[in-house]
Amino acid sequence: MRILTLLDVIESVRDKPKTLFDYIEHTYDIISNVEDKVRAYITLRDKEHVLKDAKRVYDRLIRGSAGKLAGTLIAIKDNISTKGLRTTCASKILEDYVPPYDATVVEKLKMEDAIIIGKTNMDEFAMGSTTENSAFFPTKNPWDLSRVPGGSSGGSAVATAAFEATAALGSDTGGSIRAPASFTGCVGLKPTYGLVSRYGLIAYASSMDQIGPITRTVKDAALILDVIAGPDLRDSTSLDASFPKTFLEYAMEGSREGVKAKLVVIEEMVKEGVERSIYLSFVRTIRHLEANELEISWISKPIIKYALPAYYIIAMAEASSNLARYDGLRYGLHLDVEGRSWYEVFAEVRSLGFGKEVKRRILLGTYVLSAGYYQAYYLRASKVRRLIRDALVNLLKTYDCIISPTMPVLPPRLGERIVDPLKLYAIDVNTVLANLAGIPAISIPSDLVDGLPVGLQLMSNELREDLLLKISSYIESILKITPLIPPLVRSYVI
Amino acid sequence: MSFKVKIGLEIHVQITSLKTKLFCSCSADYRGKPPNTNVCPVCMGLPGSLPVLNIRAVREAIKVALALNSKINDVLIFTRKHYFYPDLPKNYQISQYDGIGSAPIAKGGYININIDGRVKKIRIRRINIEEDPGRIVYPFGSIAKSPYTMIDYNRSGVALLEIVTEPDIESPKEARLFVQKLTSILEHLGVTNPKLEGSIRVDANISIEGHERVEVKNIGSLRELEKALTYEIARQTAIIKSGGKVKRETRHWDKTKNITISARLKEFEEDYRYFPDPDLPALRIDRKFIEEVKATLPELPDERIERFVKEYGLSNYLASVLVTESKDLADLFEEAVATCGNSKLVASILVNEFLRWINEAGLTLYEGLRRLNKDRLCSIVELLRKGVISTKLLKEYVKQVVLNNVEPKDLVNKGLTVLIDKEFIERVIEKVFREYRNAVLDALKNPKAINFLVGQVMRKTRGRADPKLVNEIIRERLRKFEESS
Amino acid sequence: MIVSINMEEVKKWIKRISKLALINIEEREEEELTKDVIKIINFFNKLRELNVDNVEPLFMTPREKPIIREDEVRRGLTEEEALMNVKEKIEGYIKGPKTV
Repeated sequence: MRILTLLDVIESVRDKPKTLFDYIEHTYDIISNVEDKVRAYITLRDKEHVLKDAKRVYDRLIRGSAGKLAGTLIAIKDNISTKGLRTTCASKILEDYVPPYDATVVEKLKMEDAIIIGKTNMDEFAMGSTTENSAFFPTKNPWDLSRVPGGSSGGSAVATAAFEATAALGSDTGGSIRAPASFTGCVGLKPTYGLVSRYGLIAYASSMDQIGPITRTVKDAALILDVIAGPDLRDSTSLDASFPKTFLEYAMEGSREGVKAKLVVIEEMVKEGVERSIYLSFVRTIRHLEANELEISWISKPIIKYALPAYYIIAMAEASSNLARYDGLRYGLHLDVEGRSWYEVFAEVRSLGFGKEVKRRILLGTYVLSAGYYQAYYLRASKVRRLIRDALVNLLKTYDCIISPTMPVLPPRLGERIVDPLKLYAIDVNTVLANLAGIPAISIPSDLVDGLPVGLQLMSNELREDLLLKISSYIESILKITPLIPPLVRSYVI
Repeated sequence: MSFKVKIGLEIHVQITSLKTKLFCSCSADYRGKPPNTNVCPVCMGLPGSLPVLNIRAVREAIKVALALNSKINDVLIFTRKHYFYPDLPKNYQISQYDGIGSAPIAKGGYININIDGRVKKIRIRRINIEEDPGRIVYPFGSIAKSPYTMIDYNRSGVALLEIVTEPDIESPKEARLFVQKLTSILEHLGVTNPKLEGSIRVDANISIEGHERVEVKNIGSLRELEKALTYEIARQTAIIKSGGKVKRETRHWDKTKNITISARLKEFEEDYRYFPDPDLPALRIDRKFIEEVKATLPELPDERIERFVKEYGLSNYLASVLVTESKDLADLFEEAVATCGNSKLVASILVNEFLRWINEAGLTLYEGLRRLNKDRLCSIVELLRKGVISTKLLKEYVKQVVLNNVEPKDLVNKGLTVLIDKEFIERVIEKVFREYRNAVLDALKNPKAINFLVGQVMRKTRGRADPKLVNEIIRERLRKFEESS
Repeated sequence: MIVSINMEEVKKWIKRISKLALINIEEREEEELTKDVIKIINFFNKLRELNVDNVEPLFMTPREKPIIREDEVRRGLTEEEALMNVKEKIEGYIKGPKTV
């Protein structure tokens, strides 16, 4: 049975439905060998329950009425609500929280017969870029167990990369899908803000959060996007956008027919703060693309140097607001209330339940919204946000995509970045742009340097996922390195 | 030393005409339901939940803004107001704010009140749309005695309008008149049903000119409002008279002790950290939308008052009271007049008699209207028209119906009717003439003194004698007297 | 552009902010947090280099058709679902702390 990509699995299972059960056994087998080394999952569903779900999918396959994702096992980042299945945001404060409802994206996956295999590890409340901020344990990079997988959707990326799932859903606020995708050799897509419903996504920064797929190929990501995208009456910020073709069709067109696209490199994303090995790899990749009819220009846009502080001000402000609700009364970590005032109990619950990074961001977020500082920080950052968005949107009227390395460094070692907050924030330098501007962005594997994956990022104008998927699929077919298989799992997969 | 009082009111009214809450599809009808059975992820603040605006709430808010002559903002923006409290599921309230990047749905406007015969304009500062928090129940009755609280989120998320006035109000009476007029407007618009418990809540800001402002919260009803304000003004005046300084603070009205108590100072300052809610995109409110809503406006109180004056020939005073006391009262008036005519009489009965008696009996207006309903009111009017009762007896009838909830025909059967038996009256008159010889002599000289004699006859017949007849007979007798002497 | 910030001043407003955010800071955490906060505020202050006087703030990318809801009742959570994660309940109410 071919299992290297999501499309492979779907096709295999459609041809021979019985292989669904083999696939599940195989996946759990891999998990039993690999999981205690990488620790991608916070909650892994019992094989028995998954087999029960599989029986239902199998029946539908036999009848010929199965959904688009029949056969797939999808890992879900633990900040996406799953009904009846513990959802923790990798935080002590939600350690035993069981949502009474499914996020819209989960409903949509289930409707297409995807099976949810488990909930993956992440940085606590999505605050971080390495998954080291999880309150429970860090996740390791399957390419090198002494290194981080990136974050905050580290668990989802590793589950995909190490074949512990067919694909995964992550969330991206400042790069949290693309960073781990880049570090683990996966494809990670952050859609246009509003294209995918946020209902059920436990909020970090509401004006930037988006759910997206982490997969092994571009076409896999496109198919998942087809399933999860769409307007939702339960999310006021969701968009009603229609495309003439499916996303999968655009991706297939890209690899089949190629595309004459005009790409642009923003110098500031490549020259400053980028490790030499990454820079060299990027230049090599660009040469390769130019030899394949992709026109690449270089331009300077100094305004983007201000993206990182603007991003963090806005993200921390919104986070401090979204995390105010955690007081232990309705759900989560609880302390006895009798005889105590609310401000006493709430403060104790929150101090015990939140980790260091979360507390830091809540305090700073509170500060930038407080009276006397709102104008100097939050308002100012929102103005800079407009300048950045305008610059990018205008640029993307002339060019089809902006191309850059996804991350400025190779995957750091565990413990390396987390000591200094600014050092940690700095690795988001190329990814925050898309979140500030609300435009879609994808990271695809482009190279292996010293045995470690390097990602290429492409951004297109908002609601131009058609173009983005077409071009990235074409580039993927030129570079010919996906699907990547980490040596750790090679023997189980081939 | 002048003690000019400045009062500003902050009134929270529920938009009770809505079927659902402001940001979710839970029922807005939460009263009487078992706790936490009228909730969903959104109004309970569960992680991952998102608000979605009830567009009808916006229409209702616009109706109110139009009726209050306020200027409606061209963009609807919601703001998060942050504070921690057990009844606030997200520990922030989705509300509106008058500041950079945000705006209330409407600003400015006014309500006219009739005070001491003249019209006074009370200006509106702003109108906000916001969500109601949940309800806190204190297990042992009072806040102070309960070592814990019990929380019910059924009400959480219900749509509220916050209406804030400028400090144009200068007395407790004006405050009451204002709230009455506002309630009448809301009721006529169909936006708020004041009969529902908790649908209208008033907080007041009171200061004596030149001194600090005090906020008074927890005022439960219209009656409490006047009492609370009167008390607070007296309290502040006393402090100033004795040379002290009024402290700027928040106080609670305690209706059992009839005083205001200082709310314990919180350990920390109030900084709401307002910012535009990123979950709710700004909504354009264009001319067309406003015109659509305007076309659906029903007759408003001021229009109705004008019509009552023109159509029914009522005085401005009577018309005003009928309409602003309560829509139900004005409705009863019109229904009754449609049945039995006599608009001036019906108006007078309702305003001069009915209202007086419900006050004395401590009844609510609605209970009073249940007792003096259209049928009973019209039978009383009929009885007067047929001469079975006199105007004096009519007052007694209204009193009895309101206080004792009896049918007018029962009173007729009990014999409470006009005495027109000429012989009987003549006998009483004779008695009175004998008792009050001097008055009779006075009356011969001064016709005005006849009233005294009439009065005595009325007394002896316990009001039942027909005053006109008594007057006639007495005059005749006096004339005969004169002729014979 | 580094604006020098006084350690003591920062410690004072950390206290004030922690009361607003209801997050207690232990003494042993204070030192490190203060240093980190100073670093991060300096990082934020980089935005002062820009002149944004005539720029409209962007709070959300613009939406043509807003998603709004008609006034129709829909089923919410059952009482069981609503209270599923509540640790202290009394007669269907959620037990809460004192409000004074």
